[in-house]
Amino acid sequence: MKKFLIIFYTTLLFANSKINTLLKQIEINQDLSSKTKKQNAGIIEIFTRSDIERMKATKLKDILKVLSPFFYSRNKFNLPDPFLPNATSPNNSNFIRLYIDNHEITSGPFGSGIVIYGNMDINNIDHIEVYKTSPSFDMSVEPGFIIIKMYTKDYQRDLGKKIGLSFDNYYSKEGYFYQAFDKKFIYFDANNYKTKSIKNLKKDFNSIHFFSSYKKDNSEYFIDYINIPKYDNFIGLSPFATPKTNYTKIQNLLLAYNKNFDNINFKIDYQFFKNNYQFEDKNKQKIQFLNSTYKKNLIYQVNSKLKSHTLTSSLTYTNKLNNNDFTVGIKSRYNTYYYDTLTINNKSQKTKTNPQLTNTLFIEERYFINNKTILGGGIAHYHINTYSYQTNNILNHRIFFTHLNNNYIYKLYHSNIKTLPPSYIIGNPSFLETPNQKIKPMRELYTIFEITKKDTSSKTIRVFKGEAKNALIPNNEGKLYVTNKRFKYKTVSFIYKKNITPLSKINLKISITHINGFNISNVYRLLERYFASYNKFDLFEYLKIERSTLIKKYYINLGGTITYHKNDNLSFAIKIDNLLNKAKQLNYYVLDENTLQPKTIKDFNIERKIEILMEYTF
Amino acid sequence: MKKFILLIPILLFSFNKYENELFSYILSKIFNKKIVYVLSKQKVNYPLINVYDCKKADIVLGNYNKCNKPHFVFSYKNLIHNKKAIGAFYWAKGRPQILLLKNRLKEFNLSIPKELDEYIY
Repeated sequence: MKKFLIIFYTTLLFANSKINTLLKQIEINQDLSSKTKKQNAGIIEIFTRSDIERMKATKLKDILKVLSPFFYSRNKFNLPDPFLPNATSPNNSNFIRLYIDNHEITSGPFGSGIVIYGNMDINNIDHIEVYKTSPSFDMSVEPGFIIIKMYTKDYQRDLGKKIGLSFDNYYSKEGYFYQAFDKKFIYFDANNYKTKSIKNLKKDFNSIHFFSSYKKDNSEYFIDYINIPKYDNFIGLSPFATPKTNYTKIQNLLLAYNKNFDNINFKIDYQFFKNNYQFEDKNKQKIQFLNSTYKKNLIYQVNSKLKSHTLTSSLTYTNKLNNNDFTVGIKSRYNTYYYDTLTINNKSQKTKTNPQLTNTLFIEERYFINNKTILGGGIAHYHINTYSYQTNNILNHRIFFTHLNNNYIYKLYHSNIKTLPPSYIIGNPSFLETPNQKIKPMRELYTIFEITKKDTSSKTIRVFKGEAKNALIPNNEGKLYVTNKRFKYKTVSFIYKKNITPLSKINLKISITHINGFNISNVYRLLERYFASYNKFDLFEYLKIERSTLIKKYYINLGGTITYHKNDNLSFAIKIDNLLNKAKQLNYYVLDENTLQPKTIKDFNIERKIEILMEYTF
Repeated sequence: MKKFILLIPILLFSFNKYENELFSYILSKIFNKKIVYVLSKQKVNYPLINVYDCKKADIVLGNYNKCNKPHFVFSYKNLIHNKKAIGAFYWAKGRPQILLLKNRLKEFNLSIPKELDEYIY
């Protein structure tokens, strides 16, 4: 009898664990990106719901930090801006475009929304798609060559409520709540972010984020509101890195509407952006002396109160005719901004009120030569009128070819993308070396070839050749000018992906990049990501190693997350970044306040942090 | 009779392998047999077998009002409103859920396996 009972209970235990295991496997392998991702739309990297859950990625920064070679880094204003961290302008990465549910987030005249949302919370996000190089033209109104698409949680899959709390070793605190109804979703996040200060240079901020969406039939409405009462601007405009006051207040409101007819999609968005920047330097007298003696134009005081309105609309038509799969569309953006107040070095400045108007016309085509071969491409024409100051007609194109042969996939991409800097830079004497000079669009020319072998794992070799022309780069004072120099780069990458078990997977990327710009250098990179689930535990681990022939030093960023599920509803996690304290450091160029000689301030892109998180669903 | 010769001649979607395995396991326990015949818009794999006639089916996966066999549905709402639904697989709180209703199982004279106790209400 005893033996029978043991067998009976063991069977029960395994039966339940079998169902639980299958439910967990379904949960981990569910991937809503299969519905949203665009095929042949550039090199795509997807973070699924279960990836984000196992990473405990609570901020977009947590996703950007595990990308390569595109990565997370801050500029002198403490804003996420991977391209030119040393420029005196707050956004130099305008070619990175950011979307929530296919609606673009911008930061008014400051261009791409990455500078604000790069540090923001993403607890309302289900999955993220990052399209790098040659992304499809039906994605963005303005030209871009990195497109980050975030998709919010599916109402019906998330029916219920969730609350999350976290704190870290710098006493940062964050709390969020969301509730999904049948057709409605509400999300609220409050964040008090703190991190290591360098001398008196702070990088902290407080934020409140509200998001709500509503779906009815084929229509969708959403509202996204961010209020940042205080955002510390690190070095900001301070020439000696000695700011006395240096912070921004930001408010951003996005109202979006989306309607799908049979083959037609219509979108309209309105965005209000408010920015209040306060800056005053401790060394005001010294800067005044330098300005008068050496005819410099250094800044010691700014009081800027800016408001902007952006209206965006798009109409796209998609259809399949025989072997053709095509999309055509028109998009338009009207962006205007004005200053309530603008004083620089205690002098009142002229303020612009003229709008920027962008009109875009595009066509994307995929032609299925046979069931194993696709040839396609796209053309986009952008007519951009910036404050009646300059008008640019930009024609971008891309072509691609994909062929499947047994276990092998061959891909070839070629694209010619021109992008403009954010509108506030154009004609602006505060940021440009020669403000009267009209800015040429930066041109990026890429060719990518890759071979993938897929069997029990996926192995890819990718060869990438690129060239940038008319890049806007900073001079010694941090002011921007268009260089005639061409930057050429070649990268060879090996990418390995394997699902070790249904609940665990590993991604590995090794690359060598040869850069021929102002300096010639080779950059060696390794990126590894590992996800696993075992019983009540989830594990995520990442490792990034970088070394270049210019900076002969290994940067190593090792981190990860361990989550313990106490039961179905309650979980606790520990998240660690930069465990070895050897992550990549950036050099910020400033002047020494005593010797007036150039010096550098080193700072980590990703600080060493230990974060504890708790989540409860009900 | 003709109206029961159903439903969709081409099965457009199939369940993924984990879903198929989960439904096979649960249904084989409920019907107490290895092979279960299902009427479904989705393609299923062995040991579940697609049939297109209500009479030949052991169970309907999804909603089909004209068939009086027990239903296994894919939303909580359908489980409540469809009186023929004995159980459901649905998503809530961001994860998949299984729920079986004891009374409805009894109405169809189906066994209530001990192994599924955790999921029976």
